[in-house]
Amino acid sequence: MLIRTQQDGFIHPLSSEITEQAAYANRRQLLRQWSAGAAALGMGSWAQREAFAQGGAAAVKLAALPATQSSVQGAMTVEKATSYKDATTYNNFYEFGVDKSDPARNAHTLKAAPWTIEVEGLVKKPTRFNLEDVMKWGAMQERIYRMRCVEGWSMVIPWIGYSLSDLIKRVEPLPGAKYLEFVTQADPQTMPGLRGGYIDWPYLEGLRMDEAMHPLSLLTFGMYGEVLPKQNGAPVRLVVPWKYGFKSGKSIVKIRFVEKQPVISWAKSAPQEYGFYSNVNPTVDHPRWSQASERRIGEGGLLDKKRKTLMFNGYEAQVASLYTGMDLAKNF
Amino acid sequence: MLRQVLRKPLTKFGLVLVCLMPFAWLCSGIFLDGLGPNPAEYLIRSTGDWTLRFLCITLLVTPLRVVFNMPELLRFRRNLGVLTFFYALMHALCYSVFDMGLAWDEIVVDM
Repeated sequence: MLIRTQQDGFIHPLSSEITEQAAYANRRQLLRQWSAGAAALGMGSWAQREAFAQGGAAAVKLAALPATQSSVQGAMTVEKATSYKDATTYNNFYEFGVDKSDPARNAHTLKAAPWTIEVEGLVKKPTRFNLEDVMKWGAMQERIYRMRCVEGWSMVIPWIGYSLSDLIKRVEPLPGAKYLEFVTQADPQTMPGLRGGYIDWPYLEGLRMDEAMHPLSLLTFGMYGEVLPKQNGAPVRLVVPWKYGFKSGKSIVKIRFVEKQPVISWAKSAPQEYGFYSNVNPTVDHPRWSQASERRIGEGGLLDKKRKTLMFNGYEAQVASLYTGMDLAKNF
Repeated sequence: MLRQVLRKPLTKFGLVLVCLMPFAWLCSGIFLDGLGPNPAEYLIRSTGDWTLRFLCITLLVTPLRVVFNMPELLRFRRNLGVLTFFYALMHALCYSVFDMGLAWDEIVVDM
């Protein structure tokens, strides 16, 4: 006769070693998330970011922003993502200072909540919307875009948002609406850079209707799996990956639907240097420097050659048709 | 007192040493990863900044000498001028090597 005791048969594990039933039941979801995360960011940049999040005193834990991988053509580059630290400590946001380390230092004063976006001009019903409502108008997607600054450097950033076209369809533009004008936050109380006179604040940006309707134009609420950090344009910004970075306005408070091409801030400040379109174009140089190549931040050493800049920042297959028949040297 | 210090040979040596500290600091930054996300840009800009600073200091020597009637200051003018040239040279080198990869045809176009 077989008498089972504690000493034979299978070894009883400690109760603390037993996986919780809820976790066990969720195992497939967990695996899916891991594989999606690995594919999206690459484990290398993930590890770098973890190290930063644990080590840096400046690291503030932001709210997670769940999203699915985008299926839009060209929206998921497989290039190595720039580290979170570089993408959040080296950027231009002149409202907080002209140095590229200024935004990370100064943008903590930005009041990102509560936030409203006013839609005005040639739409069916001009309205001021709460950000929380606007965030529900499209399914959140993660998109990994190249970002090329007009100054000659570039990054690869996983953004989160939905196509701007979802918002445009929701607010029902009138037939006369040919352009969109984006008005960004300009609060002298919280933005020290507004004392600088090089730009007629608020910072204005604009897109032609077909550009704005292009699926790659992203209304952006987050990056790297979280809501946008303040220095990167919280709580809502634009990302137009085939144009120079300054075309992607940050901290947007108003969208105007207009008939005539708006005058964007940089074109007003220096019309000979910056045009309305500002498409990434290696063959059209900035008057003061070449646009043929770019330095990818975080890539290679000091002595490595820079990258060749691609036409429309590598989105030529997706967006070139928007500009057929246009002289891009004239419409820079 | 000040004039006696200014006349000492060691003062000249000390001045050059102090003026080379920004350069030493930039060099250490290269090896200690202390130049931020875009080291090339950082090096080009800071060597340019230091060139302008030393140019101002060099050009100040003669007015200060005249106003304060201190001929001893003249001893440092050449050193400061050479230091200005040194930083300008570093600036040009950083640009040519780190930004342009010594591609002379592109450098000519960019100029």
